[in-house]
Amino acid sequence: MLRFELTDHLLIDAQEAYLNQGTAGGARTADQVRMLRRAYRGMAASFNRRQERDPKGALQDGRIVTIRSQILDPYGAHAWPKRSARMLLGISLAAPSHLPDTQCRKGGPTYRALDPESYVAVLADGPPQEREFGEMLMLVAYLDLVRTMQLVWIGREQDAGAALTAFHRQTGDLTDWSAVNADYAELLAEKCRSIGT
Amino acid sequence: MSVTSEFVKEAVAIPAAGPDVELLRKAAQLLARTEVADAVTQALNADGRSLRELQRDTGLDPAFVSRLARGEKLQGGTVASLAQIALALDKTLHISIE
Repeated sequence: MLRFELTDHLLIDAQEAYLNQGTAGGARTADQVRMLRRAYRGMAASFNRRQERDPKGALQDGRIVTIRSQILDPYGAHAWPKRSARMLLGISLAAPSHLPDTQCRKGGPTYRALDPESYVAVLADGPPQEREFGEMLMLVAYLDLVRTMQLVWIGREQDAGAALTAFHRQTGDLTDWSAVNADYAELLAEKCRSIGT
Repeated sequence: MSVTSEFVKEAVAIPAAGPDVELLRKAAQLLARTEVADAVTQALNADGRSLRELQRDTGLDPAFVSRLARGEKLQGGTVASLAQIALALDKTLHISIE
C-alpha cells in the first residue's frame, strides 16, 4: 500500500537556503516553503490514515502506470477519482528521473534492475488552474521497494533544475538513499548483495 | 532533527514583517479542498447510490457534489455543505483539529 512521507530535514534545508539568501524575496520563498510543507504534512497524514482505514480501496503503489491509470486518467477504472490521491494530481511524469543503469557492485546488477519502478518526479500543488502556490514546485521520490512517495524538496519553479541536480549529488546519482529513507537504502543494498551471488 | 531545532528554524523563517496571512489562507485552501474531496468521496462510495439517485432521493445538486468530490476550487464548499451531504446520506459529520 502506498504511503506519502515528508523528508523533513531536506525540506528544512531548502527552506534555510532561501532564508540565507538574505533578501526579502528569499525570506518570502522560505515562508512559502514552510507553509507548503505544513499543508503537505497534513495531507500526507490524512492520505496515510485513509489508506490504512480502507486497505481494499487503497492506492497500492506509486508506479507510473498506476498513477496514470488511477489518478491522472479521467476515464480510469474508478467511477470516482481515487480518494485521498488529489495531492498527486500535480505530478509530472513526462520525464521522470529513474534509478541509473550503473552496477550496484562490480559484476552485479544495475540499480535500475534492483528497483525498476522507482523514480524522482516534479510535483505541483495541483493542476495549473488549481494551484494555490503558483510558482512553487516540489520534488518527490517514489521508492517502489518500500512503496513510499517521499517529498524531498520544495522551492521556486525556476530552482527546480538546480534542486534536482543537488538531489542527485546528495544521493550519489540516486544510488545512495541513506539520507532519504534508511529502510529503502538497506533493502537496495541487500538486493544488490543477494542477486547473482 | 529534534523538535526544538525545527521549532527554532520555523520561527526564524518568519519574515520580520510578521506572519503572512495570505500564505496561511493558501495553505488552508489546499488542505481544505483535499479533506473535503476525501470526505465526500468516501461517503459517496459507502452510500453506493449514483448522483442521479441522490438528487431524486435528497435534492442534492449532482454538479455541486461532484465538484466537491473532485476537490475543485469553488465558492461555497463549506462545512455547511459537508453537513448537508452528511444529513442527506443519513450520516454524521465529525470535525477535529489534531
